[in-house]
Amino acid sequence: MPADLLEEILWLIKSNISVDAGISGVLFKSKFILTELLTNAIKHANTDEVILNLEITDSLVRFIKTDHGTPMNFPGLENKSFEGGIIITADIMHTLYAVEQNGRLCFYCHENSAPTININDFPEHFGLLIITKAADEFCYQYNKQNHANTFTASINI
Amino acid sequence: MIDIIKEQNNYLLVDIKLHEANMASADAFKTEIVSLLDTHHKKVILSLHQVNYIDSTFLGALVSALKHAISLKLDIALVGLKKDIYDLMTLIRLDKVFKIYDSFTDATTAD
Repeated sequence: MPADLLEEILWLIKSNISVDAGISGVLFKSKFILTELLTNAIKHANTDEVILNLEITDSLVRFIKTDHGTPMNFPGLENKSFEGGIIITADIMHTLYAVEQNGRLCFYCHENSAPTININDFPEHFGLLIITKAADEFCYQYNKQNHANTFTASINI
Repeated sequence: MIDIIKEQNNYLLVDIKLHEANMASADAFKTEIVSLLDTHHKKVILSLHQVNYIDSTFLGALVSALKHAISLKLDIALVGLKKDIYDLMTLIRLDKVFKIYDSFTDATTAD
């Protein structure tokens, strides 16, 4: 994501939320959610055109990113369920899982206890993890009618 | 993309000359750092003090480079991280695998 565009969006958020809302935390989360949402579009959806909607209310900042690229494929780990969802990735540090909610896949993360760490067990892909951990709610929906991938990430303020 | 600032007996002090460390530069960075490790066979202390933005692809390249270093019985330590980048690494627990220091001096005296 171009740095100047990112700064412009962060400025917009900063200008529209209350100073009591913990601005630095909201901006930190927004910065990396935005970066990863748009990186995802380029890396996985094979498209350089996205529509980004930003909603700011008294209680949340919400990013809605839509593209018409390749639908996301979350194969999950076969027969592996966790907390009522399917495991998307599991490594020594985190279990990332998705729960179907009203036709959307919503992502959650569990921190695994990792008393000893073998670097070779450590992942090299962090995009979904960053958004899942930075957002208070992070969901994906594919609309077959208009071939739209929609990711929604919300930060409570 | 990376500059050797100083070479000591056991260390290379290296600067990343990027303001935006992202998917556009990740592969080239990985190639350069792996080449540095293979050629010099020394621990690398990598300064990110110029880096204002980082994305998951570049973080993946950093982890991949660390795996290569450890396979050679070497290491990569990080210094000069901006607060946002340090907080991001803590969020996804990369602080558990990278040694992170404030400065080159702290990194070299800690070992």
